[in-house]
Amino acid sequence: MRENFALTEAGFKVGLIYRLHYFASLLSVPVSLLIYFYLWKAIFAYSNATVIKGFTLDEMVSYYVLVMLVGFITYSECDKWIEESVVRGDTIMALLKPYRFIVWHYFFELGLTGLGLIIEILPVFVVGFFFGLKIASIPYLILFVISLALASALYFLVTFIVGLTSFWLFKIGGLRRVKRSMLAFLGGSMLPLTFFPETVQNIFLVLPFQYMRYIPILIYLEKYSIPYSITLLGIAATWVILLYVLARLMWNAAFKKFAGAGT
Amino acid sequence: MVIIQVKNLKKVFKTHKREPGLGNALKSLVKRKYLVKTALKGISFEINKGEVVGFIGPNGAGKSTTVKALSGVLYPTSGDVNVLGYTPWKDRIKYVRNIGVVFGQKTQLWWDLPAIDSYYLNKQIYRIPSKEFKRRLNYMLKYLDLREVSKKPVRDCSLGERMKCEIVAALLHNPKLVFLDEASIGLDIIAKNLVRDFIIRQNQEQGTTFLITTHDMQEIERLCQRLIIINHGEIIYDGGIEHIKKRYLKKKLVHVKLETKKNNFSFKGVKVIKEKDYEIVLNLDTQISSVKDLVDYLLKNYNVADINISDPPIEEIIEKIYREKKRI
Amino acid sequence: MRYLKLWMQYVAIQLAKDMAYKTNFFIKVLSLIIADVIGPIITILLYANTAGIPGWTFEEFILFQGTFILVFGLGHLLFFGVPFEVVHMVREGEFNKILIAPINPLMNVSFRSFDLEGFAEVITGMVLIMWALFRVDFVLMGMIAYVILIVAAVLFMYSVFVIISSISFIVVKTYALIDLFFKTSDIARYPASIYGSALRFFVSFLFPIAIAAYYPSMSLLRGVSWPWMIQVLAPVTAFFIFALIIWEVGMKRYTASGG
Repeated sequence: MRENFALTEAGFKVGLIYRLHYFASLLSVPVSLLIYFYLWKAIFAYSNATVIKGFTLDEMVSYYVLVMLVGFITYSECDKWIEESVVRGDTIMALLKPYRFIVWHYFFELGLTGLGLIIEILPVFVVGFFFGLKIASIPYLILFVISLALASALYFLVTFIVGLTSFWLFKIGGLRRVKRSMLAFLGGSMLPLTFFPETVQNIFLVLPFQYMRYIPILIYLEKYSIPYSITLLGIAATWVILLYVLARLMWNAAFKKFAGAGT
Repeated sequence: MVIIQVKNLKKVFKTHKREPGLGNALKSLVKRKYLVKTALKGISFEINKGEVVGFIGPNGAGKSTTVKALSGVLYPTSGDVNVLGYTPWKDRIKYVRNIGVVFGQKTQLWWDLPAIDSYYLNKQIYRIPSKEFKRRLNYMLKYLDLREVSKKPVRDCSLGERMKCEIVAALLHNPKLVFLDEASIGLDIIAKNLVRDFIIRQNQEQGTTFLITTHDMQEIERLCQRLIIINHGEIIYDGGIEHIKKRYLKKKLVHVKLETKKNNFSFKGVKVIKEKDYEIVLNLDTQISSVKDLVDYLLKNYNVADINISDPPIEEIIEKIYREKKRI
Repeated sequence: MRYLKLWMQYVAIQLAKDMAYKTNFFIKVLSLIIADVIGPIITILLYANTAGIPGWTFEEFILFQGTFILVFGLGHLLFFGVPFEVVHMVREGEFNKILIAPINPLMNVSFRSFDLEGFAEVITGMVLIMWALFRVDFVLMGMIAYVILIVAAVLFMYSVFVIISSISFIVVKTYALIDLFFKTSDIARYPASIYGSALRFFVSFLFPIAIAAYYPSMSLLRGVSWPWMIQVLAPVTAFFIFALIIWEVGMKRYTASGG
C-alpha cells in the first residue's frame, strides 16, 4: 500500500505545478453560484411558486453548491493523462513499473484530487454557507460520504475507460468532451433530474450517470428515506463492479494492442 | 547461471496500409490491406549472470524489438523467453520489479517534476530501505555529476542530462538485470566515459547483468566482453568482442580538417578516400601503421584544424561477416 | 486581398491537419454539437416545468441561446486559439519569424489560429436562430441592428483574446485566464435582466459580455434607438482600442527583451 501512496504523492506534486488551474476553477465558484441564484430567483418569482419539482428556492441554490462540491471531490481527468502519454509515447513508463495500469492511474489521480480538495473544499463550503447551504444530519452525512466514495469510483472508471480508447483512437480530445458534457447533463449537474419526464427518470435509475452527481446531492438534501438511499447506493455499487469489469476487459485489449505493436 | 533464455523469438508486425483519398478509405473498411514486416526471424541466445553483452546492429535490425520483448512490453508472434524465471509479457508486474530499463527515445521520469522526485517515488515502488537508498543515490548523483541537475524539472534538462538521470532511475533499486536501449544519445564524450565507468563498476561490484543495444561500435568496445550482432532480424554473430576487433576493426576512418590547403597525401598503410581543399578522409590499416604514427605525421607536416578518428560503420562490418560466411 | 489569400492558405493548412486525425476531428465536431444542443434541451425542460425566464417566451429564449452559440462559435472558428498560438510560438522561438514577415503580426497570428471545429457551433447556432425567427415577431430595423451587434460581440471577444495574448508575452501561463474568461462569460448565458444591478452593470459596462447574446436579441425582439445603440457599442469600442494598445505594449516588451 505504501508504494501506492507514493504515486499519490507524485500526483500531488504534479498538481502543485498546475495549481493555477485549481485557483481558476475556484474563482468560478462564486460566479457560477451567483448565476444560478439569480436565475432561479427569477424563475421562482415569475412562476409564482414556492416549490418547483420538489425543490424550494433555498434547496435549489444548495443543489448547485452541492453540484460543485461533489464535482470537485469526484474530479478525475485520467483520460487526459492517458491520452498525453499515448501521444507522447511514454505509456511504457507506467508499464515498466510493478503496478497494474489502473492502479497506477488511480493513485496518481488521488494525489491530484487531494490537492484540489485542499485548495477548493473550504472556500466552496464558505461560499456555500453564504448561499444558505445547511449541514445535513449525521445519518445522512454518513450516507453522503459513502455515496461520494461510490460516485468518485464511478467517475474515475468511466474516465479511465474513455482514456483507454486513445490506445486505438490516439487523440481523444473530442471524446473527452462528449464524456464531460454527457456526464454533466445526465448526472444532473445542470438541472435536477426531476425536471425530466417520469419515464426518462425511471431509465436513469438503472443507468450509472445519476449516481455520480445527483444521488449524492439528494442524499445530502435528505430527499430520500434512509432505506431507499441504501437501495440506491446498492445500485451504485453494482455499477462500480460492472464498470470495473469493463475497465479490466478494456485494459486487457488495450495492452494486447499496445504490446502487439510495441510502441 | 543462465538468466536470459531466448528461444526462436519471432515478431511480425502487421500494420494497416492506408492510402490517401476518401474512396480508398471506404475501400479499406471492407477489405483491409496489411503491411507485414518481420522484425525478428526467430532468434535464440542465452545470457549468463554477470555478463555485459553488447547487442548491436544497424537501425531497424530488431534490437529495440528484442529489448521490448525482454522487458515485458511486447508480445512476440512466437517463441519462448525466460528471464529470471519469468515470461516477461505474461508476468509483467512481478517481473519488472527485478529489472531496470532505459529506452533512449522515451522517458521514465515524471516530465513535470525534478528527477529527484522520481527517485523518491522509485524508493517506495521498489521498497528500497532508506539507508541503502541514501547511500546509492548520493553515490550515483555524485559520480554522474547530477547533484544540481536532478533538482530541476526533467522537461528543462538537456537530452544528455536527462539520459544520465534515466540511468540513475533504472539502477537505483539495484536490479539484477539492466537493459540499456540506445541510452547514450545526447551524451558528450566526458559523460559517455563517466557512464561507461559507472556501468563497469556496477557490474563488478554488484554482479549486475547488462544488455546494451547501440549502433555505435566504439561505445561498447571497452564495455562488453561479448557481442551479439543482429541484422534484418537475424543474429549473424554471437561471441567474444576480441575476435571482432581483431578481424574487422583493423581499419580506422580518419577525418582531417586543415587550416591551409595541401594535396597529394600519402602514408604507409593509408588509403585516401577523399581529398578536397581543406578536408581529407583516410582509411588506415592499423596492422601496417598505428594510429599514433599517422597522427604524429599529420601534426608534423600539416596545418591541422581538427582530427576525428572513428571505426568503420557497423554496416561495413556486417557486410564483411556476410561475405566471409558465403566463402565458407 | 493579400490578407485574404494568406488567410485561405492557413485555412488550407488547418484543414489538412484536421484530416490527418479524421476520427478525432469528427468526434470533436460531434462533441461540440452535443454540448451545444444540451442548452436548448434544458430550456425545453425548464419551460415545460416552470413559467420560464421572466419576460422571455420559449421561442425568444431559444433565439437568445442560438445567438450565444453562434457568437462563441465564431470566436472558436476565428481566434480562440490565438493565446495558445502566441505561447507556442514564443516558446519555440518562432515568433521572431512573425515579426520579420511583411504582414501585420496580429493578423498573422490570428489567421494561424483558425479552427475548423468552430463551424459546428456556428451551424448549430444558426439552426436554432432560424427555427426561432419563424416563430417570433421582429422588425427589419431590428434585424439590421442584430447583425451589427453580433459583429460587435465577436469584436469584443476578439479584444479579450488579444489582451490575454499580450499578457502571454510576459506571463506564459495564461491558460488560467482563458478559463476565467469562459467561466465569466457564463453570466451571458442568461438575459442580463434577471441579475441584480451590480452584476448587470458589470456585464454591460465593465466587462460588456452581455453583448454576446443579450443585446443582439433585445435589438431584434424589442426594437432599437440610436441612443441605445451608442450606449451598447461604446464600451465595446473602448475595449477594442484598449486591446490594441495592450497588444502594442506586449510586442514592445517582447522585442525589447530580444525574444
